[in-house]
Amino acid sequence: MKLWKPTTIRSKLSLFISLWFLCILTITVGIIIRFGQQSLHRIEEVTTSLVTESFQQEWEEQVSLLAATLAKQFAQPLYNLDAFHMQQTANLIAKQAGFLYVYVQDAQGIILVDTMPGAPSAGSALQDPISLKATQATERVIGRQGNVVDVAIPIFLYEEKLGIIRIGYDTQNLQQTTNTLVADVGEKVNYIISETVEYALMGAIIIWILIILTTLLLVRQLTAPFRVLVEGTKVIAQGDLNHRFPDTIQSEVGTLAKAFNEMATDLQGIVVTKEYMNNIFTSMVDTLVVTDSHAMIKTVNRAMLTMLDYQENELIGQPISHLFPEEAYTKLVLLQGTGLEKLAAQTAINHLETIYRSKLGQLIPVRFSISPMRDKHNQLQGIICVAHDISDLKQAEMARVDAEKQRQQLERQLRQSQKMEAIGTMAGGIAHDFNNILQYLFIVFEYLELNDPDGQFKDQIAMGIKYSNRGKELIHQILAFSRMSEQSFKVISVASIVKETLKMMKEVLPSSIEIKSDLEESSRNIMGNASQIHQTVVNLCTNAGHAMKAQGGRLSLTLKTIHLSDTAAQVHSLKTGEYLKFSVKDTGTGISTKNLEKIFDPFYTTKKMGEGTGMGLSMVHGIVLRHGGAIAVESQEGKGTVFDLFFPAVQKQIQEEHLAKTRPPEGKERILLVDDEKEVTKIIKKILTKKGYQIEIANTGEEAFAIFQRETPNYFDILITDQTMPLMSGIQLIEAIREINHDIPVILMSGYQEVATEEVMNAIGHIKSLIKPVSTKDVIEAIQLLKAQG
Amino acid sequence: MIKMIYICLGIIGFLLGNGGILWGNSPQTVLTIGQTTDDIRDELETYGKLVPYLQEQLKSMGVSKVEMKFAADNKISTLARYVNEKKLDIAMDSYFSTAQLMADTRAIPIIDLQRVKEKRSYIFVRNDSGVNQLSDLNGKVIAFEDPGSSSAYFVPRLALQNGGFEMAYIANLQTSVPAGKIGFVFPGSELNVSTWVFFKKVAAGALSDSDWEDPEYIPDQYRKTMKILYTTPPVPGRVVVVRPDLDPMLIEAIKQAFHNLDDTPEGRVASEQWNERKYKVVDVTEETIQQIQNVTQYFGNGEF
Repeated sequence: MKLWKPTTIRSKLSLFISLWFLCILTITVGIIIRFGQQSLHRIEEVTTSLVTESFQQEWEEQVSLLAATLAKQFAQPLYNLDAFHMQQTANLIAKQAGFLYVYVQDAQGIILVDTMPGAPSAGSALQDPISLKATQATERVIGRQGNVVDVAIPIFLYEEKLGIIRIGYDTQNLQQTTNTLVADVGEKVNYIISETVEYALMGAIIIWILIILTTLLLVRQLTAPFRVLVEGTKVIAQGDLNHRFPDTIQSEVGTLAKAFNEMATDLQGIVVTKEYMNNIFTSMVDTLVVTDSHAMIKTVNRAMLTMLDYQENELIGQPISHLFPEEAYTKLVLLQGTGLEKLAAQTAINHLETIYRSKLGQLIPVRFSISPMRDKHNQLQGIICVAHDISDLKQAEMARVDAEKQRQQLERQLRQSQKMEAIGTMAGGIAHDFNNILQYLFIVFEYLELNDPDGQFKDQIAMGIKYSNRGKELIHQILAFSRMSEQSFKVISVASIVKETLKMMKEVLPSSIEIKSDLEESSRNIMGNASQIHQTVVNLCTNAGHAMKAQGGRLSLTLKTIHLSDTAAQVHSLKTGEYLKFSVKDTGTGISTKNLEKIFDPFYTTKKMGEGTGMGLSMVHGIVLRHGGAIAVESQEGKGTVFDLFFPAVQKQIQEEHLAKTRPPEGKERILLVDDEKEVTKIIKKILTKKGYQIEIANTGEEAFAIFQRETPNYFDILITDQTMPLMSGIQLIEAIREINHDIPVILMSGYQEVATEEVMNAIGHIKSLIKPVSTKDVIEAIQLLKAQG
Repeated sequence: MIKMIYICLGIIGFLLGNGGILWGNSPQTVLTIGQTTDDIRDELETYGKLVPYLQEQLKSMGVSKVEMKFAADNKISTLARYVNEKKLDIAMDSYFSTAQLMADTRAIPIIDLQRVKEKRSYIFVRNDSGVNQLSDLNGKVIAFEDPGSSSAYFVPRLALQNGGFEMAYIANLQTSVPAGKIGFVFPGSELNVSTWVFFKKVAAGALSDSDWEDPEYIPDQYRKTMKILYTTPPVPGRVVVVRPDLDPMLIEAIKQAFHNLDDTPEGRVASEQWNERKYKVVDVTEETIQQIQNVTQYFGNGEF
């Protein structure tokens, strides 16, 4: 007998797939059978456990219920010692299947009723744990030993415990019932599993047959290209070089077929030049159009059709201008000063950038070249137009231009930022020196005022104080701009501040200016400095009022909470998130584009001499930046200006401050006053001494510390010290003195608050900072405030 | 006229249906037999085969059916009332019940069921009771089973009385015993008698010798703690009495039927459950009647 052996790929593949699936199906069915057997075993276990548990619990309850009922029934007989009656009832129960015994015991545990034949236990006391426990218990006691459920329940007559009844029940018969039930369940489950396995086997056989059929079809399909390849190769081998394999063949066979095709083509090309050339023509990457001598299209290549979405017959016979948009063609012709055909007759054109128009109207930038095609008599036969798609090139160029613009913008911003920083630093330095000068002037004028009881120099002193105050205000503005005046930040409501400020501005601004406000009531709070925000609103409104001074107009203030998306936030160099947008819009004269770049520069002003310091907008700019916000301005000459201010919104609520309101003007505290400005300390001492204070002065930190050490720790009530002193600073002095007296109140004076930030102040504790220049009134108020705080 | 005819026919039909009215007393066709009891189920077993036996034996006397009727309250007075009302024809009870029944109904004793094996009663106490002789029971309480029991009431009480002790029924154990007397109570069952003694509710109890040995009535643990204080003379057997106005021929037939219990195989089968061969059937003699009357003398009208 000769065995069948697979020889073809088709038969081998079919056999392999069939056997492979047969293995998978066999394993699957095996797993199903195995899983079924395990499931059956598990179901039996679980069912046994559940049913046994359930039955035993049920019977525990039933036996308990019976015992409880008997406990009620036996109360009177037990009281009467009617053992006979109880015995009769107990015997009836004990005869029931499963009940092993019924005992009735008196309060001491002595058995009165015992249903065991001959009542062997009657008259004795049981010593097992349940009886011992039940004798003491007032509730039921349940025990379990093996299959026996043992329930003991006390018998009460009214409140008196007469004894207990105890019932033993054997759940062995329940086990038999359980086994029967489990066997039934197992039988049914087994039947289901058997049926499932049968169906699985039948299904597996059917699936396998289907797989064999599918495999045969699939393999036939898969090997079909090979057959084509074999047949085609035979044809080519017989010399038919025109034979080509269809390009519909996919996969590696398709690649092979293509290779054969290329090989056949190569072979054919050696002898068939025209077709070879056509192939080159067709395969070109660049577009190629050949016209006749009248620039009518004769031939186009595939690249041309693909780029412009035309069919070949849609272009053949069309004028060459059909490929261009009108403007581009006109420009092309104008540029060259003549028609293409004439032009081509004269010379070639290389790499001219122009535009093609697709069938759908899409404009495609191309690098265009033309050259004449002549016969052997040098007569123009036609024109060859070659174009290369430069869309990608153009896009890259546009991107590069955009990037260059962006870079220039950033450069401008950086320069502006650096300029503002330099101006700020310079202003801060100047302001600090001014502070010390002003401090001296302040104190001197105060001293003069104090020593001019007749008011002989009242006007002069008042003038001096007024100009000192203006100087102080200017310094504050400079410091605010230069960010050296870091005042404390807390949660504030911009809406409230704007409302308050508006009340004031209505008084200040002329009646020809209409004021409108749209302030969102539920707008969020910000973390900021109320004075600075107030200053910002005043400055912007004042500027607006100035811009509308001549002809009047409308001042609009709006406030609302907004969300800045990624894009919007980037415009203002902010992070994405919630912001408070405060806008001040006027209908005044507006700002020219030229001036718009300078409006935030310090001391830049368009106002007349004496009408403004030129610090207003630069201060606004500094304040907004210090609040982590941004400012934007739009203006149109003759129409007005809009300032948009963005402040980061916070969720926090405002905390009320309770300041000491009573500030008595005089005191008697003993004060150590420290400042390296000797004249300043002298005059302050004189003034404060007149107010009742006892002042001791020192002009260096070391001197002050020596004085403090010299006295008892509690000798001085308050320390007033300048921050900026040579060698030992005010903070260092405070730390040294606090080593001796932990609680001494301190007033720290400083030209600017750079070192005395809120964090530092909190760390030191029991301290009040004053920004120079300060008046003695400020000092006394600070003393009283510290005194009030204890 | 037609109405009158219907009425006459109705009267004739009624008289025919109740033949005795027209033709005088006819033979009694239904007999009843019974006794006092506190456990009818027990008695139904006792009479279960005897009743059909008697029915068969008395068929020749025109008796078509023998029925059972018991004084379920265990009182002789109830049994006597049944006899007087002709609801009970044959009674089979103890000497003491019979004595009272004869006094109340003039019932005629016909058969003396003598015990084959002697039966006595014990008076017993706990070992630790301090009672060592009958006289120690004066002022204390003894438990008898129930008022209908021969061995557990009549005989021991008779014995105590014969010994010169005065007895006083105590309805409530809280009540004190009259001075110089022995109080007695009825716990209602043999088991209760022993239980009351064991748990010291009473000082002594009385049960038959067979009950003394039966752990159902005195569990072994109880018995171990007890001692027999006194053993009575033998307890007499039972007596079969009949209603006094019963037909003498029928009475004779009944006597013969009882004699046949011993003499015929059918009778032995019928009485197997009933007497477990403990009784010997003999005719009542004058001596028997005298003994019964002696009981009446001691117990009077049966009141405690």
